Amino acid sequence: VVVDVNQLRGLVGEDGRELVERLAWASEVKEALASLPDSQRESIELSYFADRTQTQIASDLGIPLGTVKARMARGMQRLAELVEKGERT
Amino acid sequence: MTEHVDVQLPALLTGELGRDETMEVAAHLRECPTCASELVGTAVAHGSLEAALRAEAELSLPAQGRPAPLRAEHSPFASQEDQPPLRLASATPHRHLRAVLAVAAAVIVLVAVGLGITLSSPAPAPVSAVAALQHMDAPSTASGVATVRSIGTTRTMVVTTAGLPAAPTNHYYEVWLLEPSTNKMLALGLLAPSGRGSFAVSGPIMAQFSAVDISLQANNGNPAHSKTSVLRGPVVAQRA
Repeated sequence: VVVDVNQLRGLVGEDGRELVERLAWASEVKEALASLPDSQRESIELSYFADRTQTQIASDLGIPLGTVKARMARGMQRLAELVEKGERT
Repeated sequence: MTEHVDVQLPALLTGELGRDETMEVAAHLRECPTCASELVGTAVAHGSLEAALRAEAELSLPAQGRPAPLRAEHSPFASQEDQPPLRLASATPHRHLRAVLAVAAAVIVLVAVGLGITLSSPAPAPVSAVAALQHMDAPSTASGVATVRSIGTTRTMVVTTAGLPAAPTNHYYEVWLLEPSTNKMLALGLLAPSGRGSFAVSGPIMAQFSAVDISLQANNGNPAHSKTSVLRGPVVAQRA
C-alpha cells in the first residue's frame, strides 16, 4: 500500500510534529552527552538522569565533592558548546 | 573580587546550593563577566538536559521499551544504547536556535535582575532504589551504580559503571536482575561500550529481585548467565 507522506503529516498534526522535534532534540542532546569524557559524562548523567545530588554522586563514586563539581562544570561547558554548534567530537 | 564561582554553577541551576551559597554566587556573578559568561554555557547545557529528560518522561521512555536487536527473545527490556539515534535534520537549525536563544535569554534576565528568579526545572521522577555495584571478577578499581526511578508502573534503571576493562573480542557485558535467595535471574540487556545502560522494567517484575548483577558473556548464542559476574550489588529502596 502506498501512502502519501503529506497525508501522514496531516494526520500527525502540529502536536505530533512538535513531539517529534522534541524527541529529536533530546536524542541530539544525549548524543552530545555521550561524546563527553567518561568522567564528565558520568557525573552529569547521575545528576540529571538518575536524580542524584553532587554530594550523593561523590559518595557513590568514592571521589571528593570538589572533583564532582569540577567535572560537572567542565562537562556542562563542553556540552553547551556541542549543542550550540551541533558538533560532535 | 571574590573567588570565581564557575564550579558552583551546575549546583546553582539544579538547586543544590543553600541560601548563603546562592547569595555569594549571585554577588560574584554581578561583578564578574567571566563567570557570568560561564553561566550562559551552563544554563544552555542545563536547559538542554532538562528538555531531554522532559521528552523522555513524557513518552514514558518508549525507546527503552523496544526489543533489543540481539537476543530479543531473552531480553525483554532493550537497552537505549542499542537504539539508533533519532534524527530530524530538517528541523534541527530552528530547534537549536529556539532552544539556545530561549535559555540564553533566560540567563541574561537572570543575571540582570541579580538572581531574583530561578530557572524552572521539571520535577524528575523520584529515585525509588539504588544499588552500589562492587567488583567481583573484575579489577578492584571497577565499580558501578544502578539507580531506579519510578514513572507510573514502569521502573527505569540507569546503570553506570567505571573501571571495567573493555570486553574481550566477541564478548560483552550484560546486566541482570538477581534474587540471591533463589538464584533467579532476569537478563535486562547489554551494557554499552561506554559502560552504561538504561533499562525499563515493570514494577511487579522488578519487585521479584533484590540485586543487580553484571556478567561478562561470550557471544556464543548461549543466553544463560556465564557465571562470570564482574559487578554485583543489592538494591536498596530509597525513602520517598
